[in-house]
Amino acid sequence: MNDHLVDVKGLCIDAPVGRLVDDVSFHIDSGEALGVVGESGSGKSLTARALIALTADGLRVSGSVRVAGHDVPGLRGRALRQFRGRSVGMIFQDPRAHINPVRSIGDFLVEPLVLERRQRPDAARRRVLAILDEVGVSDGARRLRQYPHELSGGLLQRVMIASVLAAEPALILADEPTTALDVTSQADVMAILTEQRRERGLALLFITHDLELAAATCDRTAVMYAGRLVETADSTGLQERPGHPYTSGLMVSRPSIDLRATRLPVVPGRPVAAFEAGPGCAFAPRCPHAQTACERERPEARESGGTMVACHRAAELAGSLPTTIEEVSVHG
Amino acid sequence: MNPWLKFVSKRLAGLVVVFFAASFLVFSLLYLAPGSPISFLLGNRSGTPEQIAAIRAQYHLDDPFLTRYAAWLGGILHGDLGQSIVYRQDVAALIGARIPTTAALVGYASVIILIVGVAIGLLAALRPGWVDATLRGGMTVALSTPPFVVGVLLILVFALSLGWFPVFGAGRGFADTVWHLTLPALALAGGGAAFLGRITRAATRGELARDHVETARARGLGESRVITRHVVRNALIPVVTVAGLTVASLVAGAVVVESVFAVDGLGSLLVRAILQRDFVVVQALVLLLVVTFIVINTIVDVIYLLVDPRIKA
Repeated sequence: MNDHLVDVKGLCIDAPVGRLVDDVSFHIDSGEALGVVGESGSGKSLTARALIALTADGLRVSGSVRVAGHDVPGLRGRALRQFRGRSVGMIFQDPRAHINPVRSIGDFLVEPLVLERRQRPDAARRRVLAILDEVGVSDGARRLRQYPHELSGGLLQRVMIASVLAAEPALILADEPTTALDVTSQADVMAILTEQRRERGLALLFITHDLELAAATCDRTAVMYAGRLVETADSTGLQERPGHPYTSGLMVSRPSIDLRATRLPVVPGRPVAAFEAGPGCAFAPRCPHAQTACERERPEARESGGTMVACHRAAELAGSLPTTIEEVSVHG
Repeated sequence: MNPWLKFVSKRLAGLVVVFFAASFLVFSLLYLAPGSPISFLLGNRSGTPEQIAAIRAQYHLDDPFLTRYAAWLGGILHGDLGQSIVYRQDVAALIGARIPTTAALVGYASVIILIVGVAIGLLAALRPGWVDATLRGGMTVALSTPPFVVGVLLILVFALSLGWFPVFGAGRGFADTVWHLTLPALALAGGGAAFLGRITRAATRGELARDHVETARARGLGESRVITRHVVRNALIPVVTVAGLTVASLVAGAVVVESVFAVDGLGSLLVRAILQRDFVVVQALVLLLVVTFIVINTIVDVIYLLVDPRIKA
């Protein structure tokens, strides 16, 4: 149990306005993919950034974050740089903003290899060319001379993936890597990321809005709400038997190809930040199954058979929560 | 065709067009300006109609406007800037003798602006807190004090009280020139350095907050490398523009500073020529200022290509 690649226990992130991430615990084994799903502001990006010590200066991180044997919040200076450069790679949402626009693709890819790892420039170049080819970027030699504005978004995101693969990390953090791309490149980029990850046996923390995408590409899926993890489960199990009403709400609000709906069901109300939530379950005000206990007392995360659910009524509701729009429409 | 060659030739063609437009403006504005060289040439005497006619004929004052413009422009293109009405000397000689002095002054001030401006801008951007606040205060003061005030203060403190620098003159030989021109160059550079410092600070701050800087950090690059290779490198783009404009405007600023420090350069020549209605000299000098401005701007455009690959040649 102690040799998880990523082991996060009781992670809290506080901003001057209040708490943003509240008591989050999860683990990822070597080669395993964990999807983290949640609405904007649910704290999923912050959680990922805490794994590479990239949270903004004004935020206070507490709890234990261990990645590849390193105590991440305690890393400083050279040790932190080596950890970031070798153990973890991060793929950001918008490659156009996250790649320096005035440096060539070649400079971008080779830079840390030559500067931080002291590889010879021509060796680093050859290596990067090979990886570009593997992630489906054709005509690599020409690409290395080009600048980011000359590449499409999908191509640029592949360059970003190549840059992470070149560092040979044990863990990849992908923060909504396809959100900024058009639909066709989304599928391509996701396929390449998954394929390369499996081939190299890398662990992945995949952050997305898209529950289905997470379930399709990851071994396990975690659902975040208001800075807390509300459910973590095996991806297929989660798809078939959601344990938390919020997870079910996300599934039900997906449009269906078969059913013509005049209005999509939505989760009523608006998402809240962790510090806005009351003493009870943060989801209670929006939950169709909420009872008085839910408002008063915060539900403990209960684990059974590899599934973690934080809901007072988890046992009663188990197996009865809807997973598709059809079920909801039939009922009402 | 090589894109560089194409870019430079396009810019050169543009330069020629601007030169002609500017020369026309310079010539016609002075033509329209009040006061006539005749009154100066005659002094307090009221000349006879014959005398006036003779003068008008000598200086071609009766020719149609376009004919005079064409003659003037033709002369300039052949290197003949005409004869000063006051000094009865070739304007080319008058100007040529003073170019080294003004060029030294402007060059010296440019070096100060570039080094000091960029240095304080970077320092203010990278050291938030009291360093930033102090530098920003200093920049505001420097920016809002006109050069002639700075010049007089510098003379009072460093030339008269402390005696470290001479009060006036341009000096001979390199070391002596540097010594003589230090105070004038400082007076000339003050505002520009402060302005460039502000731009550098703002550009660097803006770049520090950009997403690609986060990527560089996430990839384990050291902080000094992140700063030099990503933050400063990208902040250079606006800094180059402003540096070019600031340096170009120094040529005009030299007019004031040369008068304050009694340096016999193009600036003081221009002031005298205007006061004496020496139209030929004024036209030549203003045209020279305009051309210098255009040339520096063209150089900035070329540097732009080097620092920002997004600009297509």
